[in-house]
Amino acid sequence: MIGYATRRLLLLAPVLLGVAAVAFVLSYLLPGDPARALAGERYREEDLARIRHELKLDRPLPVQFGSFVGRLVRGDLGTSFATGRPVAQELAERFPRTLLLATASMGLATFLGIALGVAALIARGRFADRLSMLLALGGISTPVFVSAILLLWLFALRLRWVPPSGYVDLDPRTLILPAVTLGVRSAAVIARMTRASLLDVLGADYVRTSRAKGLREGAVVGRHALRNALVPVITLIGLDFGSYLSGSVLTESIFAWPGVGQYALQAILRRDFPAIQGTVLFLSVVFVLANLAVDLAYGWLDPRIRHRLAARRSA
Amino acid sequence: MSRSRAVRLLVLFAGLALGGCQATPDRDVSTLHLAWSSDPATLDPAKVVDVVGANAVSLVYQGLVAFRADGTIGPALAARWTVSDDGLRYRFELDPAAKDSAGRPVGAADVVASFRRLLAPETASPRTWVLETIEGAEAFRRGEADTIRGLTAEEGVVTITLSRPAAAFLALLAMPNAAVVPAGAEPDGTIATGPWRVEERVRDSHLTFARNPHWSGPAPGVERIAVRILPEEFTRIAEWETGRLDVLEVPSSQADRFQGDPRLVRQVALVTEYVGLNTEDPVLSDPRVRRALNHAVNVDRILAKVLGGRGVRAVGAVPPTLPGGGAGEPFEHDVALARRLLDEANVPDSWELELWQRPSPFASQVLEAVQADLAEAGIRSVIRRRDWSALKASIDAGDTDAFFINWYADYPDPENFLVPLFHSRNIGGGGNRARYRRADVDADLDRLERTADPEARARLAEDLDVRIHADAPWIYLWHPVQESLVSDRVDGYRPSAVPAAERWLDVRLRGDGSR
Repeated sequence: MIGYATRRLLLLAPVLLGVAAVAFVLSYLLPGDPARALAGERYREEDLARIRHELKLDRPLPVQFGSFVGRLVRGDLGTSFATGRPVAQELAERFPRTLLLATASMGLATFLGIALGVAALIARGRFADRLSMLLALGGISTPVFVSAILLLWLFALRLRWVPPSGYVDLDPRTLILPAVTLGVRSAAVIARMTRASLLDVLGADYVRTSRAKGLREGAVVGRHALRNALVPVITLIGLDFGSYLSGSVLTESIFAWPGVGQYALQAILRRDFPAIQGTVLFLSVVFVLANLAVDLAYGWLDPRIRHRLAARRSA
Repeated sequence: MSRSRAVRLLVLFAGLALGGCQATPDRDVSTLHLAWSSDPATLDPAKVVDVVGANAVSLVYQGLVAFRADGTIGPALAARWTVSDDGLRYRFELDPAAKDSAGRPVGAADVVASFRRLLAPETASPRTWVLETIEGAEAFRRGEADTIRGLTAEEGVVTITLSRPAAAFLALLAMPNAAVVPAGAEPDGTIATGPWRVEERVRDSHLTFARNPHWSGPAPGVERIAVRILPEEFTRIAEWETGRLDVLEVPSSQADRFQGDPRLVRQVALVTEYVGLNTEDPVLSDPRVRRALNHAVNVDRILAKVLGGRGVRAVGAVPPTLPGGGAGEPFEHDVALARRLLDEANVPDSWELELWQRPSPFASQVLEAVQADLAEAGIRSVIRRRDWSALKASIDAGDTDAFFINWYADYPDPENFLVPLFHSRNIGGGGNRARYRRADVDADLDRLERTADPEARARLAEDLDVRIHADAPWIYLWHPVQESLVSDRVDGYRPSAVPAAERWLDVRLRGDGSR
């Protein structure tokens, strides 16, 4: 397992080089001009030229790419054009907030989704099954901006249970609405996947054996089937968690959550090239690591995968 | 895990457990609660270019002079000043009690250091034009001189000599870009020269400004200003509705729901909204075509339907509240006349006008209405949407036919609506985005910059505004009415003419009002 993880981590280097190249090219393909964005509504051409010079935008593209890669090798993500602060510092300030939101959302989604999926499976074919799957369908089909505004309207404006927006530094309860907004959607997908996966697993020989031994249906599902059925669910959780760690632009924006998503959006709007490139690279690493964690979790959940890896190593 | 982090997590979980409790705002009368739509990228006076940034810089830094709420100019770091008869020499006597928030005196050397910093090539400030009229500023900016010849400092006195008379020079000095940062201090607002200092800043979340204890001016009426960064209009409204904000600038899209609210405060903003016409375009270079477009668009109807009447029709670039503004006659909505003018100009049938806008629902509503009116006059048009950065680059490069934008006053003077917007030396990024060029107008705009006598200046501004309006380099739209909701617990609020004047000095909070 350790060898597998090391190999995956080593593969990160070429992946990052590719991502760096793509992020660099994409920044320059965006229409617009970072120097003009900094210059505001009234500026002189000489001042614009001076800004370009100070930002080193007047150098040939290959030279700019070379210095970009050189900086990356030294672990330097550059300095934001807009704020004049190191991009690494700006990301380091915001990532814990995004991590908190992603963890809360996925925690909620995992608990709700699996519980709903199992409940639907146990009651399959009955009203409770149809209702839970209908709820799941609703959760999947509702765009985040709609559910965010509905939740905000209901719980913040009407019931006044929670503040409408903000970050936990201001009020810990501000985590609730954005976490629920993101979590409900994932919970819906997880519920459907859990139910479908459990249905597959319940037809397996070892499940039939468990039943033949006289185990109750709850014990068959809970003790034997669920663990194996969770392998595809874990993939889903990993993918969603990775994407939440990349920042949920809409949710962060609506709830004024000062995370990576808002930062990325501002960077794009301001044509802040170092911030765009740094954010893309950082989030690529996060995404790859999240996926690696998912892969490692497979082995923990399903001993067959662990044994297969061990057998390959000994061969 | 550090102890503070553990405590914070504990607080978080306790808060979550209390999630069912009422989210009641505090009733602290020492803190004024505000919202901004974006986080100022910088608090550096040399770099700030946007409205929110100008707001923030004006709270923490002040210059030699400052705007009052009504837009007039009053003393700040300079207690008094004199201007020579030829308008070239300004002598500022500094307030001997002026100190920064760390308690150090702010003197002439700090003023000179800040002005040098704004103009220094390595600063790469986009706002060097604010001080460009100081003698020797251009040579210093280009790196050809080590000193700014027209800027001298003695004990408690700053003397500025201009290379040419500039009637608006004091207004330029009151702009946030000319604010003074204590020499050697980081321009981040933590060591301030203005009435407030930055006490706490969490980027993209909130800023807290505390009183500058050493400010020599009258003490503000509240201890703190807490500013939330709320990018979404809906969220700002929700924060207001739940009593968490004391003042809310009403987004135009939400204005209808607050009409009749007694807490609403209105003023005609020093803003002009217009559809700029690229006068270098082969078809649009003909003034008859530009006039035809103005006659084709029913501005009064758009103003009523899209803005709910919350605006004053523009009959020139200069808002009616400024000297010389509002004197022109509006282009009447006359489709037949528009068609006749187009025929006279021999506009080809295949001509199609591109209308550019940033992707906002409001801009779309306006341009779709304009497009419908143009179609009625037989003018085909297509709407192009780009985000602001891309749109501005295209406009400034002259790649657009027509574009819906606005102009916010930097300083409350008609010159600020005429020289940048119509002088040929400002074509492109200088503000003249219609690329308007007329030698006689340029000469009179130069004269306007030099004319100090208020009456003569107002007459000249009026004449210029009316003449340019008749030439129709824009489709003239309106000056919007800015609306703010002010909670019952706020006393002494007056809307300010320009963002740099909004310093919340006279505001006080009552303990028993609801926010």
